[in-house]
Amino acid sequence: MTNSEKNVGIVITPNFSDRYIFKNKDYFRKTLEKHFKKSMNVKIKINQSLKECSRIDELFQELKEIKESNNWDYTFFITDLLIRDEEEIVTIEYRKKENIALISLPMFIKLNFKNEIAEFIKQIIHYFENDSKDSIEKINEMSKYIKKDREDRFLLKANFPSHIKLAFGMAILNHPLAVLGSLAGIIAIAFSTGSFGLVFSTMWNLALNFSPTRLSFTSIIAVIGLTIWIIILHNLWEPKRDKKKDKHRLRLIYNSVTALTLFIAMTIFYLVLFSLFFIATISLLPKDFLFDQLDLPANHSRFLYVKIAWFAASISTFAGAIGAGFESHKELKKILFQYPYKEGSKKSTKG
Amino acid sequence: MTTKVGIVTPPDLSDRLKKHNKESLEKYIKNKLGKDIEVHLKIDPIIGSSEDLKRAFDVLVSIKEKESWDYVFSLSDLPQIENGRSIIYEYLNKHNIMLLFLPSLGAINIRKKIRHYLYTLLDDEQDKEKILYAKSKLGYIDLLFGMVMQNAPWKGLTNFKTIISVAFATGTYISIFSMPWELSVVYNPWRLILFMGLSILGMVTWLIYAHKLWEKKSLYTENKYRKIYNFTTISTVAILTLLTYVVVAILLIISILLFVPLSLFDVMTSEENSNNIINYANLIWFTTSLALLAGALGSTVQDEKRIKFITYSYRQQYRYRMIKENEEEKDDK
Repeated sequence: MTNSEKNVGIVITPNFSDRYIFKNKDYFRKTLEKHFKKSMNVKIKINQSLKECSRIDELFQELKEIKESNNWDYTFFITDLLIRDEEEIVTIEYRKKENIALISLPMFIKLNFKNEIAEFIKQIIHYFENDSKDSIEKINEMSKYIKKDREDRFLLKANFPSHIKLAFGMAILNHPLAVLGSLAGIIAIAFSTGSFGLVFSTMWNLALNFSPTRLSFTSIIAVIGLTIWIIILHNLWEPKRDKKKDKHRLRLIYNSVTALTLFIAMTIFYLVLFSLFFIATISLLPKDFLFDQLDLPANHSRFLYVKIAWFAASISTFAGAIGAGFESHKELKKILFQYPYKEGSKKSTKG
Repeated sequence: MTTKVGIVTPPDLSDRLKKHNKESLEKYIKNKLGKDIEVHLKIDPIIGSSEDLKRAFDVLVSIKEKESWDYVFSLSDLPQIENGRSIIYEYLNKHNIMLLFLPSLGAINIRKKIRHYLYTLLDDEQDKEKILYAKSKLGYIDLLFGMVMQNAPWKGLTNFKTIISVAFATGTYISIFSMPWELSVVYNPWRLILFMGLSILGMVTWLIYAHKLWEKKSLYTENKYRKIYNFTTISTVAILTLLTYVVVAILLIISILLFVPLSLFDVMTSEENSNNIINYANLIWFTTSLALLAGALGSTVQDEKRIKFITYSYRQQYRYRMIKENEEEKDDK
């Protein structure tokens, strides 16, 4: 090994993941240079066709060609897609002989995302450059969820926590916030519905009557109910079609990704609504008047304002959001099925 | 030697026939008649257009010759009326072709009846009428029920998801205001029933109007058919609305239990020490009716085509189109 400049190429699929990778290009370079004490050139390429590779050997073959034509020393394929090999789900695989590694992102998603990826690349390059038989630390960390299949290939374990972890990662990559963004109109409808009730005394009475436990309960039912309802209304649940086991497993993963993405989005939706109502209650309802109407002593806790907003958020989730029924059907589907479904349906029609 | 029997159905009937699988029919005939038969299924839309029956027979004859079947058993989901009586089947002796009109079989035991007529067709000992009429009065009722049944109204409920959403949302919202609470308490059962009837009637009228399901007088449909078509449409929509009502009521049970605390309800309606369960039930009943009337009225189904399919004339027009397309294809060749 020489100390000369090295070219590190990262191939990504055109999707949400490109955002994560592109904007951190410099960060990757700096991390690598700091560690290896030499100049590292990080190149990023988006490749559409790799999405279509249905066999992992084909994938490596294509990556090899890309690597050679670009004159890269190390090649990484980082994707938010599931990489499947027959019935198994490959989370990570690296081939030392070829200096190529592929990483399926959803499994490795963490809060400090850029650091995570940089570490991965660093450790794998380290492994490529040295002859040590030591395994890669980052992968050892994940041993709860992944298992070694053969030399340098790690598969998803077929247990519940691994699938949850995977689904969660995919849900995050699905960008629940984008789902929320497409629902701005619904937030407005829900808010206006709720505001209407806010000026009637029944809502104050109800809020006063409800204990925080009961309010929490309504929130949970509201969010879960809304999630289930969107799934039913837009037929987002992939039904059982195939008796084959691998299809069944994938179906489970995709369905839980859909549910999780929506659930996260709806939780945020609910919190936004709550904040809006909180602002509305404190600005719309004068304290003296409110307490007077409810026959409360002047020194009664002002927590009532929170409770009114809380109640309003729950009722308007039911009354406004469910009723509005999400007009932007296409938009929603586009966001939700950005990657899992397209990939899944393509394969299932082929097979 | 095995006898070849061809079963010809219009496109949308074929799904149901798949369940009515071939083997069971073959077995049944084997047991009853000792005949070995081979059942072939064929989908042909031409049978769907009942207004010119004569042509249907011509087509069946040509299909029979082409497929070299021994018997043809053809099913139609359209009604056939002659001289004020509903026809169960028409039989073409020369060609061993039977055309069975499913609606005339009524609403129950349809499978059994189909099997029975297949048996009748295949039994050469039996004398067969050229046209078998149903008994006059009972036959008409059977026909009407049969037509509603052919529509399978319960299957359309998934098309009502938006309507259910709106009704549910409205109902939930209504249920947190004190005036509806008080009204629900003062309403006696008769008024509640009346209110329910009103909201369902309103909804049925609205749906028929909004989706143009009403068959007006036209050159295409004879008056006698028009009346029963419209009756069928009303019944189907009414069943669907009733199902919607039940679903909304069930959903409202959840949200009312969640949002309306009994203690507060009792204080506000001055109904202390009264029967709580009945009060709750009344509130749910009242709210469901109001939800349909105030919320769902005005909103439409998700897929307009699907609801139009419950009208016989739309289906027929659809089939006419298919026939035309088929003919054009043939002409092109």
